[in-house]
Amino acid sequence: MSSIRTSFYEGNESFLSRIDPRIKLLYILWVFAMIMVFTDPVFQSFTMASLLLASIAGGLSLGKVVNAGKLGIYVGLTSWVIWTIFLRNEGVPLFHVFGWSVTDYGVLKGLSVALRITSVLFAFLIVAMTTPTRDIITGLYGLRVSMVFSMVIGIILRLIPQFQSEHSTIMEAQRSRATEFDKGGLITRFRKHTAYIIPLTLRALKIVSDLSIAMESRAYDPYTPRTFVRELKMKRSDKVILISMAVFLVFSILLRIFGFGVLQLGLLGSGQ
Amino acid sequence: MQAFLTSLLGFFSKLASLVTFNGMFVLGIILSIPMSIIFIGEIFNYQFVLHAPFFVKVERRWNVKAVAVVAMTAALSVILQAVGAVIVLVPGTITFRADALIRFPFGAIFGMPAVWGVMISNIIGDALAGTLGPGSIAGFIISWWMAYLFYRFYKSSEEYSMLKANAWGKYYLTTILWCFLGAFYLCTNFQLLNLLPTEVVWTAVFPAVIVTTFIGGLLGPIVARVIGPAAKRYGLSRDEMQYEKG
Amino acid sequence: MDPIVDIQGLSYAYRGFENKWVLRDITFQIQPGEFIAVAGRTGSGKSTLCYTLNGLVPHSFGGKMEGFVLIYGLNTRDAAPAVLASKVGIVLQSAESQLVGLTVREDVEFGLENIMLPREEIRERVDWALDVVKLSHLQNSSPWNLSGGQKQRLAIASALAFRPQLLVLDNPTAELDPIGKQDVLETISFLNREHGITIFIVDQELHEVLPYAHRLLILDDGKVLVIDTPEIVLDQAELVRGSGVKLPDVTEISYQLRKRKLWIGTLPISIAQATEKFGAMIQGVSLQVMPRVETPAPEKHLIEIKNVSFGYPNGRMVLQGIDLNIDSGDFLAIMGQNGAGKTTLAKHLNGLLKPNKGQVLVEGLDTQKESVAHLATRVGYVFQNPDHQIFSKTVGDELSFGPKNLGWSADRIEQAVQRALHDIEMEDRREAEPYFMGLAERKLIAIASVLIMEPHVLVLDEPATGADYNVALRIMRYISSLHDRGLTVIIITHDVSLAANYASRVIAMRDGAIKIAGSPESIFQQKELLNECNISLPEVAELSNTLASYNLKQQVIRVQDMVSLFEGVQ
Repeated sequence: MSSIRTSFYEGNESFLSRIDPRIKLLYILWVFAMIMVFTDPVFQSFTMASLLLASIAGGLSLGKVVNAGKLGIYVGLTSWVIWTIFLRNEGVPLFHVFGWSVTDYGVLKGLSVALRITSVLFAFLIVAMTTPTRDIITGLYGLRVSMVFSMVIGIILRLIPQFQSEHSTIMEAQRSRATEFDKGGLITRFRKHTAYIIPLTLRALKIVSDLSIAMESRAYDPYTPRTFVRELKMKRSDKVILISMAVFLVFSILLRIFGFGVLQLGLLGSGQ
Repeated sequence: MQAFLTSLLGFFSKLASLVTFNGMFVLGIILSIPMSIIFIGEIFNYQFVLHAPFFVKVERRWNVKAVAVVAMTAALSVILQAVGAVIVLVPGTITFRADALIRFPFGAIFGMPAVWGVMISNIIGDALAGTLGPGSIAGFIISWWMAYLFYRFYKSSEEYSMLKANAWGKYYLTTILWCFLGAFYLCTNFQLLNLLPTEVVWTAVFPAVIVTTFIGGLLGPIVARVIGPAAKRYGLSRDEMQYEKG
Repeated sequence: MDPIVDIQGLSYAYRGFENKWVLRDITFQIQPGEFIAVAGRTGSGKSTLCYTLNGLVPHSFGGKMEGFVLIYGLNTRDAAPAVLASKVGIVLQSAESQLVGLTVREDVEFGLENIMLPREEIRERVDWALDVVKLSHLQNSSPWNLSGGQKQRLAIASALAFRPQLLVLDNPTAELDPIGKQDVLETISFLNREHGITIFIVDQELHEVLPYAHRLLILDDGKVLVIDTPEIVLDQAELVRGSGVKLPDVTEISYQLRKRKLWIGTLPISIAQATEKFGAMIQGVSLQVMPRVETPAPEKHLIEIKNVSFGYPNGRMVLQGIDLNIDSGDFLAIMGQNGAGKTTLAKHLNGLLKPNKGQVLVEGLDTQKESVAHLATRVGYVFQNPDHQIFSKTVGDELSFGPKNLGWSADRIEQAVQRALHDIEMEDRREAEPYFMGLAERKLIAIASVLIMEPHVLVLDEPATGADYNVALRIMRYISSLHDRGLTVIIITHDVSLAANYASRVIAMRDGAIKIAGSPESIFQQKELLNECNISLPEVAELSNTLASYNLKQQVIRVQDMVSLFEGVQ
């Protein structure tokens, strides 16, 4: 198993890195709302442009951003292809591949879905690459997201690398006992997987039991309010961004209510 | 074995075609609404019961251990997801869901902290893997249900430690129940969001969810037999953590 | 002066086990500024006693408690752990399990955020705490990149930031390498000397902690066996040994001599105290050097490591040009500090790692071309923590897992399992659950479950680390008996006395290369070279060196040899 990365933070100073983490978290939600309001890729492209702008404001290299979201792009592209195949008989044929026509409706519909799938992911990635994990957690807390939840996210990110190193040691220990995980019938193979799942879980219990003692000794209680060293203060630029996001969202919803931004081709209506 | 799995997939997709995709969708909607309501109820500590007034308030006080168990469940689940994804059982459709091996039994052993932990693992897993999207939300909710069913159906430490044969029977029945509920919920959501064409949703995604999760969770009782007593010993099982009254 | 800790008639039993007292009628006091060392066998109640001091017992663990614990007059029953946190800091055995923050600084901040201090004060206190433990320069690093000793110092800083008057440390050095141990103990002693912080430290290695301690407390079966100055406690050597605590080697030697009526007066607790008396005993006597019989090298080596280099894909070289032959019947100890490449080298022996350059031949087989599963029948590898290995519901299942992987017949497996159970004296525990057994049993099961595959070489990573004296002794006796039966044994260890007592050959590694190799006697004569590898001498060897000025010409490295030497003199 390749190692799971638990932080995307790039660490460079930029306009975006100085923005209040709460605003950045709201931006992810904003992208989600905006991309869902429209089904026409032309209208969706505005939201996508904001992503481009954000990565520039974050001083991020586009290559890195795309690389981090590779898997999402792959999923998006697959669903684009699937839609063009399924909608081959609807809309105006653009060209033919192996006797199947590719229609304008199929292409646009597929694109619209692909943008839906990838936009939220990239909003998240851009925010994660420009915000230290600690600030994301403080931001969640600042947004009145449950304090327990914010704390849990922090602990998970701390546990993952430790569990991973436990996992690789366990795998080596079992391989030293002549375990070959890819050999044998299906049930035998499943049984072999318990040879690492059980020790890993037992180790996890031990680690977490110690961790909860350590946290309790350091006066942690899920219900007691805490201070956060990082102070959250909205600057003018933060407020401007917040207001413009709100304005754009309201405006977009109005547009949609008045029938704009909906993919309408052929006989098929919206929402298909 | 691979042939058997493929025929199983074929069976479920045939089933979906027989009911018709619209029929499946309607059925999905009928199941999704109460599932969502029960989920939202639990966020506010209101629990669904089978008698009037149907939702009762549960007193919960999360302690440090409960918080740590939420995180542990999530972290383990994220790692096992990554481990299992490498093991392909039927190329293209079925990978080994090693995380199911802990998601189901953990609901029984740890109760609500595991239920939330499993859901959060989906959020973090999607975020870290780079697959976060609109479809993720339905994924969070059905994974919440994975552990929730077990939390509701299992109570005593003897039961969650799978010491008796009937606890095993209950395990598989609950797993199958989830496989259908989860598959319906996810697919209905996919169709609502238009993420994939209807045919693909019901003939490919629907059977794949059922088969992969059931297979993944198959050896859950073996895990539970060891982890149940261990959790109790560490004071981390649902009856030892005492985060819930009554 | 008012005592900082006042414990009266304290008894405690955990929830669910209310009729099994873990602590029984404990009464003692600690004065401000004291340094108290605590020892006792596993299960004697040491950790539980630590938890009573910061209120986790009874607040978090529940259970049944009698008597009381007063911290500066405050009854722990009436004070929540959050309140006590500012008076009593606690540091646990596993440094990693205590890390909460994603950076060093965050980790120290965590606790102060919980008690809602103003931001400015948090900043000041964190700066101070990191400064005291000398970690300021690493404050923005991830705690996971720190060394073991640094991690434990971070845990100390996190406790220190609360500005407690009492610091409780539950076996903080047990999992560290010698440098880490020294690092942490020096920090603790500094806090005690310079900041007047009262120290209550559990530590099994008396010779390491006693130089700093004012008083020594021995716990046995939940009771205070004795609490007094180290000299007075150790003078009751019989009692201390009976409680499963290992005496410092000098104390042990003089105790053995006292039993033979060759030692008069109190027992020494440090080399400095002992030198003169021992010196007087051998002065002017000519001593016979007993040369060790060297066995001639066999023609064919069991394992040949030829010019092996290994690096990880990120470019870091871990092994550089290693040449080593291992012969049948060897008992080899691989030593060196963390990161020197010991474990990496050992993992080459059963093919878990394959060399980038060079060749490893196991009984003539090139590991490059063999699977780990195939090599498992020749080289068995036992990992440090048995919990990484054990996963079956019963001991029998655990033992049969390897043979099943090898595809043995049912009959052969059955016979092998029975033999293995007999070997580790667990015939009657075949159906028992292995997880909740003691460390010694789990270690033995882990070893047996590797040995059952009938390898010719057994590699053990830190076979006795973290185990208390009796447990370590039981494990090492088992390994030693296997060696006597002809098994080739390789151990990776930090423990110099273990290497001195059991190994027939020692290699010391540094920066991925073998720096010194030879018999234990010859190795422990090269103090400078060993220092470069951050390996200290066994206590006995130190004593032997100091006695050189008293006419001791020979290097003695084992307690028993030293005792015999003095006996011979008389």
